[in-house]
Amino acid sequence: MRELKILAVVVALTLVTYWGVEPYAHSQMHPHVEPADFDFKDVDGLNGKTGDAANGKVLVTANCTACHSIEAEGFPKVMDDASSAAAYGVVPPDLSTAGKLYNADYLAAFIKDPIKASKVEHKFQDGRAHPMPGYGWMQEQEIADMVAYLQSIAPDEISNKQAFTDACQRCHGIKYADMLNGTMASFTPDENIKKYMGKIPPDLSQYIRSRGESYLTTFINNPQKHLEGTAMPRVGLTEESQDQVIRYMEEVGDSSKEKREELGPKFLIYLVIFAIFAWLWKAKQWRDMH
Amino acid sequence: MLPWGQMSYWAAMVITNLFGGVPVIGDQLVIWIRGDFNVADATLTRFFMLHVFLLPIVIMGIIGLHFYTLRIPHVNNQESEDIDFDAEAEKYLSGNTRESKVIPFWPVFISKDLAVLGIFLIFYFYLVFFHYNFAMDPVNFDPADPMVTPAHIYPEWYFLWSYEVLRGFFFDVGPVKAFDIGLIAFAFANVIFLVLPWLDRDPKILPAHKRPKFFIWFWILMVDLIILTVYGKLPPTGINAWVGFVVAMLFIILFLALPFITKADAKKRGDA
Repeated sequence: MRELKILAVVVALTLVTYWGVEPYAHSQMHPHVEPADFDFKDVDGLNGKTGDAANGKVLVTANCTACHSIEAEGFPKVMDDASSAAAYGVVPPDLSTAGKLYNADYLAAFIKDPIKASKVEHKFQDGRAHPMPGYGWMQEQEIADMVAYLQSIAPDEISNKQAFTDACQRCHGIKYADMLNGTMASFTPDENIKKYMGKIPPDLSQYIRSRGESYLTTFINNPQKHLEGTAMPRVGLTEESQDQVIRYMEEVGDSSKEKREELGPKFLIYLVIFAIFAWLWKAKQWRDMH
Repeated sequence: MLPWGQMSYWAAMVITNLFGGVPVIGDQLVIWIRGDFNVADATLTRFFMLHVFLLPIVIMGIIGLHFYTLRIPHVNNQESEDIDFDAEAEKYLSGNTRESKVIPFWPVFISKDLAVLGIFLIFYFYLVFFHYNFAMDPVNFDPADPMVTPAHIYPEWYFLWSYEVLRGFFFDVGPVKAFDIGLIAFAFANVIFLVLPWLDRDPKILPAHKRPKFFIWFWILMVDLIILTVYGKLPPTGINAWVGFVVAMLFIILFLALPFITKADAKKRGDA
Protein backbone atom coordinates (compact mmCIF):
# COMPACT_ATOMS: atom_id res chain seq x y z
CA MET A 1 0.00 0.00 0.00
CA ARG A 2 2.77 2.37 0.98
CA GLU A 3 4.63 1.65 -2.26
CA LEU A 4 1.52 2.50 -4.25
CA LYS A 5 1.13 5.78 -2.38
CA ILE A 6 4.72 6.71 -3.17
CA LEU A 7 4.18 5.72 -6.80
CA ALA A 8 1.05 7.87 -6.98
CA VAL A 9 2.96 10.90 -5.65
CA VAL A 10 5.82 10.38 -8.10
CA VAL A 11 3.41 9.99 -11.04
CA ALA A 12 1.45 13.08 -10.02
CA LEU A 13 4.56 15.25 -9.71
CA THR A 14 5.89 13.90 -13.01
CA LEU A 15 2.64 14.73 -14.78
CA VAL A 16 2.57 18.27 -13.39
CA THR A 17 6.15 18.82 -14.55
CA TYR A 18 5.41 17.30 -17.95
CA TRP A 19 2.37 19.51 -18.38
CA GLY A 20 4.49 22.54 -17.49
CA VAL A 21 7.42 21.93 -19.82
CA GLU A 22 5.46 20.58 -22.76
CA PRO A 23 1.84 21.68 -23.39
CA TYR A 24 1.95 24.77 -21.20
CA ALA A 25 5.36 25.99 -22.42
CA HIS A 26 4.32 25.42 -26.04
CA SER A 27 1.12 27.40 -25.57
CA GLN A 28 3.23 30.26 -24.21
CA MET A 29 5.86 30.15 -26.95
CA HIS A 30 3.55 29.59 -29.91
CA PRO A 31 0.53 31.86 -29.70
CA HIS A 32 -2.72 30.42 -30.97
CA VAL A 33 -3.60 31.19 -34.61
CA GLU A 34 -6.90 30.95 -36.44
CA PRO A 35 -7.51 27.63 -38.21
CA ALA A 36 -6.58 27.30 -41.89
CA ASP A 37 -9.04 28.89 -44.36
CA PHE A 38 -9.28 26.67 -47.41
CA ASP A 39 -12.10 28.71 -48.97
CA PHE A 40 -9.84 31.77 -49.33
CA LYS A 41 -12.76 34.02 -48.43
CA ASP A 42 -10.64 37.16 -48.48
CA VAL A 43 -9.60 36.98 -52.15
CA ASP A 44 -11.20 38.70 -55.16
CA GLY A 45 -11.63 35.44 -57.06
CA LEU A 46 -14.15 34.06 -59.55
CA ASN A 47 -16.99 35.93 -57.90
CA GLY A 48 -19.37 33.12 -58.84
CA LYS A 49 -18.53 33.05 -62.57
CA THR A 50 -18.15 29.73 -64.35
CA GLY A 51 -15.65 29.62 -67.16
CA ASP A 52 -15.53 28.16 -70.66
CA ALA A 53 -12.51 25.88 -71.00
CA ALA A 54 -12.35 26.14 -74.82
CA ASN A 55 -12.09 29.92 -74.70
CA GLY A 56 -9.70 29.59 -71.76
CA LYS A 57 -7.38 27.48 -73.89
CA VAL A 58 -7.02 30.27 -76.42
CA LEU A 59 -6.36 32.84 -73.72
CA VAL A 60 -3.85 30.67 -71.83
CA THR A 61 -1.98 29.85 -75.02
CA ALA A 62 -1.79 33.54 -75.93
CA ASN A 63 -0.96 34.92 -72.47
CA CYS A 64 0.77 32.30 -70.32
CA THR A 65 2.90 29.96 -72.40
CA ALA A 66 5.53 32.60 -73.15
CA CYS A 67 6.86 31.93 -69.66
CA HIS A 68 5.03 28.88 -68.31
CA SER A 69 5.37 25.36 -69.62
CA ILE A 70 2.32 23.07 -69.73
CA GLU A 71 4.02 19.76 -70.34
CA ALA A 72 0.76 17.79 -70.25
CA GLU A 73 -0.55 19.80 -73.21
CA GLY A 74 2.67 19.82 -75.22
CA PHE A 75 4.02 23.22 -74.24
CA PRO A 76 7.61 22.46 -73.22
CA LYS A 77 9.79 24.61 -70.99
CA VAL A 78 10.95 27.75 -72.74
CA MET A 79 14.42 27.60 -71.15
CA ASP A 80 16.25 25.33 -68.75
CA ASP A 81 15.79 26.02 -65.02
CA ALA A 82 19.04 27.93 -64.53
CA SER A 83 18.32 30.31 -67.40
CA SER A 84 14.71 30.99 -66.46
CA ALA A 85 15.75 31.54 -62.82
CA ALA A 86 18.30 34.06 -64.05
CA ALA A 87 15.66 35.71 -66.23
CA TYR A 88 12.73 35.84 -63.79
CA GLY A 89 14.39 35.46 -60.38
CA VAL A 90 12.64 32.16 -59.79
CA VAL A 91 11.69 29.24 -62.06
CA PRO A 92 8.09 29.71 -63.29
CA PRO A 93 5.84 26.77 -62.45
CA ASP A 94 4.55 24.27 -65.00
CA LEU A 95 0.78 24.69 -65.23
CA SER A 96 -0.20 21.06 -65.97
CA THR A 97 -1.51 20.44 -62.46
CA ALA A 98 -2.33 24.01 -61.38
CA GLY A 99 -6.07 23.48 -61.81
CA LYS A 100 -5.90 20.52 -59.46
CA LEU A 101 -3.49 21.92 -56.88
CA TYR A 102 -4.90 25.37 -56.32
CA ASN A 103 -8.22 26.62 -55.12
CA ALA A 104 -10.14 28.04 -58.12
CA ASP A 105 -10.99 31.35 -56.44
CA TYR A 106 -7.40 31.75 -55.32
CA LEU A 107 -6.14 30.95 -58.81
CA ALA A 108 -8.39 33.61 -60.32
CA ALA A 109 -7.30 36.15 -57.72
CA PHE A 110 -3.66 35.26 -58.31
CA ILE A 111 -3.94 35.76 -62.06
CA LYS A 112 -5.49 39.17 -61.47
CA ASP A 113 -2.99 40.32 -58.86
CA PRO A 114 -0.26 37.86 -57.81
CA ILE A 115 1.20 40.09 -55.10
CA LYS A 116 -2.06 40.68 -53.32
CA ALA A 117 -3.34 37.10 -53.55
CA SER A 118 -0.10 35.65 -52.22
CA LYS A 119 0.13 38.28 -49.47
CA VAL A 120 3.64 39.48 -50.25
CA GLU A 121 2.98 43.21 -50.65
CA HIS A 122 5.80 43.89 -48.17
CA LYS A 123 8.26 42.22 -50.52
CA PHE A 124 7.46 44.14 -53.70
CA GLN A 125 7.88 47.75 -52.74
CA ASP A 126 9.91 50.61 -54.15
CA GLY A 127 9.34 49.57 -57.73
CA ARG A 128 10.24 45.91 -57.30
CA ALA A 129 8.02 43.97 -59.66
CA HIS A 130 6.61 40.48 -59.20
CA PRO A 131 7.99 38.21 -61.97
CA MET A 132 4.41 37.53 -63.05
CA PRO A 133 2.46 40.57 -64.23
CA GLY A 134 -1.10 40.91 -63.00
CA TYR A 135 -3.94 40.30 -65.45
CA GLY A 136 -6.45 42.49 -63.66
CA TRP A 137 -7.08 44.32 -66.93
CA MET A 138 -8.85 41.26 -68.36
CA GLN A 139 -12.57 40.67 -68.12
CA GLU A 140 -13.73 38.68 -65.08
CA GLN A 141 -15.19 36.17 -67.52
CA GLU A 142 -11.87 35.72 -69.31
CA ILE A 143 -10.10 35.00 -66.02
CA ALA A 144 -12.80 32.44 -65.20
CA ASP A 145 -12.30 30.85 -68.63
CA MET A 146 -8.57 30.44 -68.04
CA VAL A 147 -9.18 28.88 -64.62
CA ALA A 148 -11.73 26.53 -66.21
CA TYR A 149 -9.18 25.53 -68.84
CA LEU A 150 -6.47 24.84 -66.23
CA GLN A 151 -8.95 22.73 -64.30
CA SER A 152 -9.96 20.82 -67.44
CA ILE A 153 -6.38 19.77 -68.26
CA ALA A 154 -5.40 18.86 -64.68
CA PRO A 155 -5.27 15.14 -63.86
CA ASP A 156 -7.92 13.74 -61.49
CA GLU A 157 -5.32 12.14 -59.25
CA ILE A 158 -1.75 13.16 -58.56
CA SER A 159 0.78 11.50 -56.31
CA ASN A 160 1.88 13.09 -53.05
CA LYS A 161 5.31 13.57 -54.52
CA GLN A 162 3.95 15.34 -57.60
CA ALA A 163 1.93 17.67 -55.38
CA PHE A 164 5.14 18.61 -53.57
CA THR A 165 7.18 18.92 -56.74
CA ASP A 166 4.66 21.19 -58.47
CA ALA A 167 3.69 23.30 -55.46
CA CYS A 168 6.92 23.65 -53.46
CA GLN A 169 10.04 22.51 -55.25
CA ARG A 170 10.61 25.67 -57.26
CA CYS A 171 11.96 27.21 -54.07
CA HIS A 172 12.34 24.40 -51.52
CA GLY A 173 14.53 21.31 -51.70
CA ILE A 174 13.76 18.14 -49.76
CA LYS A 175 17.09 16.41 -50.09
CA TYR A 176 16.42 13.38 -47.84
CA ALA A 177 13.99 12.15 -50.49
CA ASP A 178 16.90 11.40 -52.83
CA MET A 179 20.29 11.75 -51.20
CA LEU A 180 21.97 9.69 -53.91
CA ASN A 181 21.12 11.65 -57.03
CA GLY A 182 20.07 14.98 -55.56
CA THR A 183 16.97 15.17 -57.76
CA MET A 184 14.93 16.71 -54.96
CA ALA A 185 16.96 19.90 -54.69
CA SER A 186 15.05 23.09 -55.47
CA PHE A 187 14.63 23.90 -59.16
CA THR A 188 15.85 27.46 -58.72
CA PRO A 189 19.62 27.63 -58.11
CA ASP A 190 20.66 28.88 -54.66
CA GLU A 191 22.14 32.18 -55.82
CA ASN A 192 18.97 33.18 -57.68
CA ILE A 193 16.55 32.10 -54.98
CA LYS A 194 18.61 33.87 -52.34
CA LYS A 195 18.36 37.07 -54.29
CA TYR A 196 14.65 36.59 -54.93
CA MET A 197 13.57 35.55 -51.42
CA GLY A 198 16.19 37.33 -49.31
CA LYS A 199 17.58 34.03 -48.04
CA ILE A 200 17.76 30.45 -49.20
CA PRO A 201 14.39 28.84 -48.38
CA PRO A 202 14.91 25.96 -45.92
CA ASP A 203 15.27 22.36 -47.01
CA LEU A 204 12.04 20.66 -45.94
CA SER A 205 13.36 17.14 -45.25
CA GLN A 206 12.74 17.30 -41.50
CA TYR A 207 9.99 19.89 -41.36
CA ILE A 208 7.35 17.31 -40.47
CA ARG A 209 9.34 16.85 -37.25
CA SER A 210 10.66 20.33 -36.58
CA ARG A 211 7.34 22.08 -37.31
CA GLY A 212 4.78 19.30 -36.97
CA GLU A 213 1.59 18.70 -38.88
CA SER A 214 -0.67 21.23 -37.18
CA TYR A 215 1.81 24.10 -37.62
CA LEU A 216 2.37 23.17 -41.27
CA THR A 217 -1.37 23.06 -41.89
CA THR A 218 -1.91 26.66 -40.83
CA PHE A 219 1.46 27.87 -42.06
CA ILE A 220 1.26 26.66 -45.67
CA ASN A 221 -2.30 27.93 -45.89
CA ASN A 222 -1.14 31.40 -44.89
CA PRO A 223 2.54 31.85 -43.93
CA GLN A 224 1.98 35.38 -42.59
CA LYS A 225 -0.07 33.97 -39.72
CA HIS A 226 2.94 32.44 -38.01
CA LEU A 227 5.77 34.47 -39.50
CA GLU A 228 4.63 37.99 -40.16
CA GLY A 229 6.68 39.52 -42.96
CA THR A 230 8.05 36.24 -44.27
CA ALA A 231 8.98 36.19 -47.94
CA MET A 232 7.11 32.94 -48.49
CA PRO A 233 3.98 33.58 -50.53
CA ARG A 234 0.59 32.11 -49.74
CA VAL A 235 0.29 29.56 -52.54
CA GLY A 236 -3.42 28.78 -52.38
CA LEU A 237 -3.36 24.99 -52.17
CA THR A 238 -6.69 23.25 -51.78
CA GLU A 239 -7.19 21.30 -48.57
CA GLU A 240 -6.68 18.04 -50.46
CA SER A 241 -3.42 19.02 -52.17
CA GLN A 242 -2.03 20.64 -49.06
CA ASP A 243 -2.71 17.41 -47.24
CA GLN A 244 -0.85 15.56 -50.00
CA VAL A 245 2.11 17.90 -49.61
CA ILE A 246 2.20 17.28 -45.86
CA ARG A 247 1.85 13.51 -46.42
CA TYR A 248 4.83 13.66 -48.74
CA MET A 249 6.86 15.58 -46.17
CA GLU A 250 5.94 12.85 -43.71
CA GLU A 251 6.94 10.08 -46.15
CA VAL A 252 10.36 11.70 -46.41
CA GLY A 253 10.89 13.07 -42.90
CA ASP A 254 9.35 10.19 -40.99
CA SER A 255 9.88 7.37 -43.47
CA SER A 256 9.58 4.56 -40.92
CA LYS A 257 6.21 5.63 -39.56
CA GLU A 258 4.23 2.95 -41.37
CA LYS A 259 6.65 0.21 -40.35
CA ARG A 260 6.61 1.46 -36.78
CA GLU A 261 2.85 1.47 -36.53
CA GLU A 262 2.65 -1.94 -38.14
CA LEU A 263 5.15 -3.46 -35.68
CA GLY A 264 3.78 -1.63 -32.62
CA PRO A 265 0.75 -3.77 -31.72
CA LYS A 266 2.70 -7.05 -32.07
CA PHE A 267 5.41 -5.72 -29.83
CA LEU A 268 2.92 -4.55 -27.22
CA ILE A 269 1.12 -7.90 -27.23
CA TYR A 270 4.45 -9.60 -26.56
CA LEU A 271 5.11 -7.22 -23.67
CA VAL A 272 1.66 -7.81 -22.16
CA ILE A 273 2.33 -11.56 -22.18
CA PHE A 274 5.77 -10.91 -20.69
CA ALA A 275 4.27 -8.72 -17.96
CA ILE A 276 1.65 -11.36 -17.06
CA PHE A 277 4.29 -14.07 -16.68
CA ALA A 278 6.58 -11.71 -14.79
CA TRP A 279 3.82 -10.91 -12.29
CA LEU A 280 2.92 -14.57 -11.85
CA TRP A 281 6.56 -15.40 -11.23
CA LYS A 282 6.90 -12.50 -8.81
CA ALA A 283 3.79 -13.61 -6.91
CA LYS A 284 5.24 -17.12 -6.63
CA GLN A 285 8.58 -15.86 -5.36
CA TRP A 286 7.09 -13.48 -2.82
CA ARG A 287 4.45 -15.85 -1.41
CA ASP A 288 6.83 -16.96 1.34
CA MET A 289 8.50 -13.63 2.03
CA HIS A 290 7.78 -11.18 4.81
CA MET B 1 25.02 18.16 -28.71
CA LEU B 2 25.51 15.21 -31.02
CA PRO B 3 22.36 15.71 -33.13
CA TRP B 4 23.94 19.04 -34.08
CA GLY B 5 20.53 20.62 -34.32
CA GLN B 6 19.62 24.22 -33.61
CA MET B 7 18.75 23.68 -29.96
CA SER B 8 21.74 21.51 -29.08
CA TYR B 9 24.06 23.93 -30.84
CA TRP B 10 22.70 27.04 -29.20
CA ALA B 11 22.30 25.46 -25.78
CA ALA B 12 25.97 24.42 -26.01
CA MET B 13 26.80 27.99 -27.01
CA VAL B 14 24.97 29.47 -24.02
CA ILE B 15 26.22 26.94 -21.47
CA THR B 16 29.88 27.10 -22.53
CA ASN B 17 29.63 30.89 -22.55
CA LEU B 18 28.75 30.79 -18.86
CA PHE B 19 32.29 29.74 -17.99
CA GLY B 20 33.40 33.11 -19.36
CA GLY B 21 32.08 34.53 -16.07
CA VAL B 22 34.78 32.79 -14.04
CA PRO B 23 37.15 35.51 -12.76
CA VAL B 24 40.55 35.98 -14.42
CA ILE B 25 40.68 32.81 -16.53
CA GLY B 26 37.10 33.01 -17.90
CA ASP B 27 37.82 33.72 -21.57
CA GLN B 28 40.63 31.15 -21.79
CA LEU B 29 38.45 28.62 -20.00
CA VAL B 30 35.71 28.97 -22.61
CA ILE B 31 38.19 28.41 -25.44
CA TRP B 32 39.67 25.44 -23.60
CA ILE B 33 36.25 23.83 -23.13
CA ARG B 34 35.19 24.43 -26.71
CA GLY B 35 38.56 23.59 -28.23
CA ASP B 36 37.87 26.48 -30.56
CA PHE B 37 36.88 30.13 -30.44
CA ASN B 38 33.37 29.06 -31.32
CA VAL B 39 31.16 26.02 -30.75
CA ALA B 40 32.44 23.98 -33.70
CA ASP B 41 33.76 20.60 -34.81
CA ALA B 42 36.34 20.40 -32.01
CA THR B 43 33.61 21.03 -29.43
CA LEU B 44 31.51 18.26 -30.93
CA THR B 45 34.32 15.68 -30.78
CA ARG B 46 35.38 16.52 -27.26
CA PHE B 47 31.82 16.44 -25.95
CA PHE B 48 31.40 13.13 -27.72
CA MET B 49 34.47 11.78 -25.89
CA LEU B 50 33.21 13.24 -22.64
CA HIS B 51 29.93 11.35 -22.97
CA VAL B 52 31.13 8.03 -24.39
CA PHE B 53 34.41 7.71 -22.49
CA LEU B 54 34.92 9.96 -19.47
CA LEU B 55 31.40 9.91 -18.05
CA PRO B 56 31.07 6.10 -18.40
CA ILE B 57 34.32 5.73 -16.42
CA VAL B 58 32.87 7.96 -13.72
CA ILE B 59 29.63 5.98 -13.76
CA MET B 60 31.58 2.72 -13.36
CA GLY B 61 33.27 4.20 -10.30
CA ILE B 62 29.92 5.26 -8.88
CA ILE B 63 28.51 1.78 -9.46
CA GLY B 64 31.48 0.41 -7.51
CA LEU B 65 30.70 2.83 -4.69
CA HIS B 66 27.06 1.77 -4.86
CA PHE B 67 28.00 -1.91 -4.42
CA TYR B 68 30.26 -1.01 -1.54
CA THR B 69 27.56 0.95 0.31
CA LEU B 70 25.06 -1.82 -0.38
CA ARG B 71 27.25 -4.61 1.05
CA ILE B 72 29.32 -2.92 3.77
CA PRO B 73 27.42 -0.12 5.54
CA HIS B 74 24.21 -1.61 4.13
CA VAL B 75 21.04 0.21 3.15
CA ASN B 76 18.74 2.32 5.28
CA ASN B 77 15.00 1.70 5.41
CA GLN B 78 11.84 3.73 5.72
CA GLU B 79 11.59 3.29 9.50
CA SER B 80 15.35 3.75 9.96
CA GLU B 81 15.33 0.52 11.90
CA ASP B 82 18.75 -0.96 12.74
CA ILE B 83 18.95 -4.40 11.22
CA ASP B 84 21.55 -7.06 11.94
CA PHE B 85 22.00 -8.17 8.37
CA ASP B 86 24.06 -11.25 9.17
CA ALA B 87 21.53 -12.54 11.68
CA GLU B 88 18.68 -11.90 9.24
CA ALA B 89 20.57 -13.72 6.49
CA GLU B 90 21.06 -16.70 8.82
CA LYS B 91 17.35 -16.70 9.53
CA TYR B 92 16.58 -16.65 5.80
CA LEU B 93 18.98 -19.45 4.99
CA SER B 94 17.64 -21.65 7.77
CA GLY B 95 14.28 -21.61 5.98
CA ASN B 96 12.48 -18.98 8.04
CA THR B 97 11.94 -16.73 5.02
CA ARG B 98 8.73 -15.19 6.31
CA GLU B 99 10.35 -13.75 9.45
CA SER B 100 13.59 -12.68 7.82
CA LYS B 101 14.06 -9.02 6.93
CA VAL B 102 16.38 -9.70 4.01
CA ILE B 103 15.81 -11.30 0.64
CA PRO B 104 18.24 -12.73 -1.90
CA PHE B 105 18.86 -10.76 -5.07
CA TRP B 106 18.10 -13.82 -7.19
CA PRO B 107 15.35 -14.75 -7.71
CA VAL B 108 13.24 -12.80 -5.20
CA PHE B 109 14.46 -9.26 -5.74
CA ILE B 110 14.85 -9.56 -9.50
CA SER B 111 11.35 -11.08 -9.87
CA LYS B 112 9.81 -7.88 -8.54
CA ASP B 113 12.07 -5.79 -10.76
CA LEU B 114 10.99 -7.71 -13.85
CA ALA B 115 7.31 -7.54 -12.93
CA VAL B 116 7.38 -3.76 -12.58
CA LEU B 117 9.62 -3.42 -15.62
CA GLY B 118 7.09 -5.43 -17.66
CA ILE B 119 4.36 -2.92 -16.86
CA PHE B 120 6.59 0.07 -17.49
CA LEU B 121 7.84 -1.25 -20.82
CA ILE B 122 4.28 -1.52 -22.12
CA PHE B 123 3.86 2.19 -21.50
CA TYR B 124 7.33 2.99 -22.78
CA PHE B 125 6.99 1.13 -26.07
CA TYR B 126 3.51 2.53 -26.56
CA LEU B 127 5.22 5.93 -26.66
CA VAL B 128 8.00 4.64 -28.92
CA PHE B 129 5.63 3.17 -31.48
CA PHE B 130 2.73 5.61 -31.44
CA HIS B 131 4.10 8.87 -30.04
CA TYR B 132 7.55 8.79 -31.53
CA ASN B 133 8.07 12.53 -31.15
CA PHE B 134 7.29 12.40 -27.45
CA ALA B 135 9.71 14.62 -25.52
CA MET B 136 11.93 15.24 -28.55
CA ASP B 137 12.50 18.92 -29.06
CA PRO B 138 11.13 19.86 -32.50
CA VAL B 139 13.57 22.76 -32.78
CA ASN B 140 16.46 20.31 -32.72
CA PHE B 141 15.36 18.90 -36.08
CA ASP B 142 16.52 22.11 -37.69
CA PRO B 143 20.22 21.70 -38.56
CA ALA B 144 22.61 23.81 -36.47
CA ASP B 145 23.05 27.23 -38.00
CA PRO B 146 25.43 29.77 -36.39
CA MET B 147 23.73 32.58 -38.31
CA VAL B 148 20.20 31.99 -36.98
CA THR B 149 19.47 32.17 -33.25
CA PRO B 150 16.28 30.34 -32.20
CA ALA B 151 13.61 32.53 -30.61
CA HIS B 152 13.82 30.61 -27.33
CA ILE B 153 16.87 28.75 -26.08
CA TYR B 154 16.51 26.27 -23.24
CA PRO B 155 18.43 23.17 -22.10
CA GLU B 156 17.04 19.64 -21.78
CA TRP B 157 14.23 19.30 -19.22
CA TYR B 158 16.46 17.88 -16.46
CA PHE B 159 18.68 20.98 -16.51
CA LEU B 160 15.81 23.48 -16.54
CA TRP B 161 15.73 23.95 -12.74
CA SER B 162 19.37 25.03 -12.49
CA TYR B 163 19.06 27.08 -15.69
CA GLU B 164 16.21 28.97 -14.03
CA VAL B 165 18.31 29.60 -10.93
CA LEU B 166 20.84 31.15 -13.31
CA ARG B 167 18.24 33.30 -15.07
CA GLY B 168 16.35 34.19 -11.90
CA PHE B 169 18.76 37.00 -11.03
CA PHE B 170 18.04 39.32 -13.88
CA PHE B 171 18.90 42.71 -12.43
CA ASP B 172 22.16 44.31 -11.28
CA VAL B 173 22.58 44.89 -7.56
CA GLY B 174 24.76 47.96 -7.07
CA PRO B 175 28.07 47.35 -8.84
CA VAL B 176 27.45 43.58 -9.21
CA LYS B 177 26.19 42.57 -12.63
CA ALA B 178 23.09 40.37 -12.95
CA PHE B 179 25.14 37.90 -15.00
CA ASP B 180 27.63 37.44 -12.14
CA ILE B 181 24.97 37.01 -9.47
CA GLY B 182 23.18 34.45 -11.64
CA LEU B 183 26.42 32.61 -12.25
CA ILE B 184 27.23 32.39 -8.53
CA ALA B 185 23.70 31.15 -7.82
CA PHE B 186 24.03 28.62 -10.68
CA ALA B 187 27.32 27.30 -9.30
CA PHE B 188 25.74 27.10 -5.84
CA ALA B 189 22.73 25.18 -7.19
CA ASN B 190 24.90 22.65 -9.01
CA VAL B 191 27.17 21.70 -6.11
CA ILE B 192 24.87 22.13 -3.13
CA PHE B 193 23.31 18.66 -3.40
CA LEU B 194 26.78 17.13 -3.10
CA VAL B 195 27.27 18.58 0.39
CA LEU B 196 23.76 17.71 1.56
CA PRO B 197 24.97 15.18 4.22
CA TRP B 198 26.97 17.95 5.92
CA LEU B 199 24.11 20.44 5.82
CA ASP B 200 21.98 17.98 7.74
CA ARG B 201 23.06 18.66 11.34
CA ASP B 202 20.72 16.16 12.94
CA PRO B 203 22.95 13.64 14.79
CA LYS B 204 20.50 10.81 14.06
CA ILE B 205 19.70 9.35 10.65
CA LEU B 206 15.93 9.38 10.49
CA PRO B 207 13.29 9.34 7.76
CA ALA B 208 11.55 12.63 7.02
CA HIS B 209 8.25 11.60 8.60
CA LYS B 210 9.99 11.50 11.96
CA ARG B 211 11.45 15.00 11.45
CA PRO B 212 8.48 17.39 11.15
CA LYS B 213 10.34 20.56 10.13
CA PHE B 214 12.55 18.75 7.63
CA PHE B 215 9.42 17.09 6.24
CA ILE B 216 7.93 20.50 5.41
CA TRP B 217 11.30 21.68 4.06
CA PHE B 218 11.41 18.68 1.72
CA TRP B 219 8.01 19.30 0.17
CA ILE B 220 8.67 23.00 -0.27
CA LEU B 221 11.88 22.02 -2.08
CA MET B 222 9.95 19.64 -4.36
CA VAL B 223 7.42 22.32 -5.26
CA ASP B 224 10.21 24.85 -5.75
CA LEU B 225 12.10 22.52 -8.10
CA ILE B 226 8.98 21.89 -10.16
CA ILE B 227 8.25 25.60 -10.50
CA LEU B 228 11.91 26.22 -11.40
CA THR B 229 11.71 23.49 -14.04
CA VAL B 230 8.50 24.82 -15.58
CA TYR B 231 9.62 28.45 -15.60
CA GLY B 232 13.07 27.43 -16.85
CA LYS B 233 11.49 26.79 -20.23
CA LEU B 234 9.18 29.80 -20.43
CA PRO B 235 10.39 33.06 -21.97
CA PRO B 236 11.87 35.13 -19.09
CA THR B 237 9.77 38.21 -19.69
CA GLY B 238 7.29 40.19 -17.58
CA ILE B 239 5.87 38.28 -14.65
CA ASN B 240 7.86 35.13 -15.56
CA ALA B 241 11.12 36.88 -14.67
CA TRP B 242 9.82 37.74 -11.20
CA VAL B 243 8.45 34.26 -10.57
CA GLY B 244 11.88 32.97 -11.57
CA PHE B 245 13.56 35.40 -9.17
CA VAL B 246 11.35 34.42 -6.24
CA VAL B 247 11.74 30.65 -6.71
CA ALA B 248 15.49 30.97 -7.32
CA MET B 249 15.82 32.99 -4.09
CA LEU B 250 13.68 30.42 -2.30
CA PHE B 251 15.94 27.63 -3.55
CA ILE B 252 19.01 29.28 -2.08
CA ILE B 253 17.30 30.24 1.17
CA LEU B 254 16.07 26.65 1.61
CA PHE B 255 19.61 25.31 1.54
CA LEU B 256 20.98 28.07 3.76
CA ALA B 257 18.23 27.28 6.27
CA LEU B 258 18.69 23.51 6.18
CA PRO B 259 21.35 23.27 8.95
CA PHE B 260 19.14 25.27 11.32
CA ILE B 261 15.98 23.35 10.45
CA THR B 262 17.57 19.95 11.01
CA LYS B 263 19.13 21.20 14.24
CA ALA B 264 15.75 22.46 15.47
CA ASP B 265 14.16 19.07 14.76
CA ALA B 266 16.86 17.33 16.78
CA LYS B 267 16.53 19.79 19.65
CA LYS B 268 12.79 19.31 19.85
CA ARG B 269 13.28 15.55 19.97
CA GLY B 270 15.85 16.04 22.72
CA ASP B 271 18.74 14.64 20.72
CA ALA B 272 20.85 17.74 20.43
